Amino acid sequence: MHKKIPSIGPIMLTQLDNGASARVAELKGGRQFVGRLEAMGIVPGTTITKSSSSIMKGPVVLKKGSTQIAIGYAMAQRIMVEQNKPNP
Amino acid sequence: MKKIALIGNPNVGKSLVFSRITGIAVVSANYVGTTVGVKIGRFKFHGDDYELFDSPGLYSLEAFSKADEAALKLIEDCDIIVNVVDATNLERNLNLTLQLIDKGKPLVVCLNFWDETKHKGISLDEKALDALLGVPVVPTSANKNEGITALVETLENARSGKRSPPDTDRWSRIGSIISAVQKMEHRHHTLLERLGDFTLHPVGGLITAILALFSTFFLVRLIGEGLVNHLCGPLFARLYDPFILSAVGHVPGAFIRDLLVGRTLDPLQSFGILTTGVYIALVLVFPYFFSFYLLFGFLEDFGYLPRLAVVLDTFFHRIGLHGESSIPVMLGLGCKVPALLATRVLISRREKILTMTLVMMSAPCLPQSAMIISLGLRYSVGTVITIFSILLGLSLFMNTLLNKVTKGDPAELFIELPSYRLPSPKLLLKKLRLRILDYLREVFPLIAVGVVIINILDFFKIIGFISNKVGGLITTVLGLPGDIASVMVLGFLRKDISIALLAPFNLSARQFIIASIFMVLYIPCIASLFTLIKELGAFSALKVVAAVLVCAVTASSVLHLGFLLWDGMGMR
Repeated sequence: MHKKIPSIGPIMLTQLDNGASARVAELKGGRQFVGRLEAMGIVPGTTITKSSSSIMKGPVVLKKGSTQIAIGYAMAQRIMVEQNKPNP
Repeated sequence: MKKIALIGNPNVGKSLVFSRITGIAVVSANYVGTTVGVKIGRFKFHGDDYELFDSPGLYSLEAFSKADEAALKLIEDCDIIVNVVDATNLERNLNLTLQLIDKGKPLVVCLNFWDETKHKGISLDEKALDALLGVPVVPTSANKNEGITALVETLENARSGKRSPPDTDRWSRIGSIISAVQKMEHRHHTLLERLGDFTLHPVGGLITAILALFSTFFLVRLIGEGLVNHLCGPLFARLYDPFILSAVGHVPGAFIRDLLVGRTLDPLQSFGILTTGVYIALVLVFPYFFSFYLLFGFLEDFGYLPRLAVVLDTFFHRIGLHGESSIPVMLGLGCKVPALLATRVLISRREKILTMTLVMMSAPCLPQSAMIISLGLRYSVGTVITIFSILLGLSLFMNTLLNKVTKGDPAELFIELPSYRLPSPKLLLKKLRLRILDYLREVFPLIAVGVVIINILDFFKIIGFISNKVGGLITTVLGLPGDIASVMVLGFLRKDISIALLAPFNLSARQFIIASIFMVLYIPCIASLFTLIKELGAFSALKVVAAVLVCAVTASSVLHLGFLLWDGMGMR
């Protein structure tokens, strides 16, 4: 929906295009939320790839290294990512 | 005796390593959370006795679920840790490894799935890893039984490794270790990886899910029916039955003879331990049990279940759950006990209770389903479909209701998707054999006890007494013969016999629908009841059981009333 906005600041993982990679900027959530992502290596500064999303606000599948994880839509909204700026 | 604990991320093959070392067969599968409790086995090496513990998988030393807590406790209690690591996914696995090393216990790292690193274009320098971590590193391929002896031999050399200096950023240390020990070649996507991507695609996933479910049902029925009609049925009728009847003819004492083979020849009417009991267990249930677990085992080992969880997530959100609950529900199509245990990986108590209710209500367990199908098909296919649709509908209604009345936020899906793996036929058959043996061990004693109880009740005219007391109520409320009361007593022991015992009543199709729905829901079988109590505590377990019972009585009486009204309208 908001995909096409040429954002400069961080966007929600749900707004990232499928197949695109981005750097994790911030994890907006409680200890448990951050803890579970941290255990999988998803911490601010690391690069993740969004593999796919589902219709009707279904889960988002992301890839970190060779690990693939499916997370709920609401959780994906709380992962803020920054896309690498294309080289001029 | 030294206590050795197998600790590692979920789905790295700990149970397989466990079963290779101890020779104890345990169920393993290609998804996170197959093992939810600690298992103990013993083995001898160089004359020393060791105790080996299998544990649920952990991503870090932080407990999120009940299954995590069990593994954390084991880490504290054991003498040596064998850290099982997925060699194809070293980076993520090292997070736990470094945390374990910081604990300071003697440790061995087991690089499992070593055989798969080649296909995936990964080359690992295990000597360099050994040096960087300061602990022995042993490559293994547990699925091929390679490296297991070397692993056991290395246990003597287990040592505490190099602790991270304080204030080091763990993930950056992992990054530097990975760049020192791992080289990745670029290579083309394999067919299985392409399939993996397709089954996650919004449309592709849905298509696969529908295809997978329908072909599974089709094949379960095809193989099951084939076995009933062409193998188990004829064997029973032509060989077993005549033999056992003539053999028991020599047994003195009419009462004993009746217990063993009953009074009539129809194996569904006689209620002899050796006739009806064997007929139910081996001819009516076993074929479906075999075909269901054969296909289910394949899906499990292939790694499909977590993908299905992703596809079903949106739907499960409507009943206050998320996709991960679909795994216990699928398991529940086979047997409720492992399904209820599988809810241990769920984090909140609320989603646990909701999932357990769904597990118990959405469909009967496999032996009961097999009986409902066998008896129901004597009426019509529609009768069977009606029963299963009503059960599914009721369970969804119940969960929607529970979701409304219980407080708390719906949890979110968080599940690792394993790579698809072609199942090893050997391991698949091993698992099938394990499940079949478990079934046979349980079914015969309980059926025997059930038949003895019903004969004793009959002998002392207790059935007549019970029927007199509550029979009228059953007839008025449910429209069923009063004598069914005795069957209800036995349903507690085993749910498949409770349906089988309906056969002599010559019920009408409608009565059979009502009776089946009531028998599936009214009370959990003894094994599931104890599992519920163990998992939730007596009070909550009884609340769940009571809620389901109320639902059973209401639904069956409403159904009876509906049928009556329908007839009344037809009369006019």
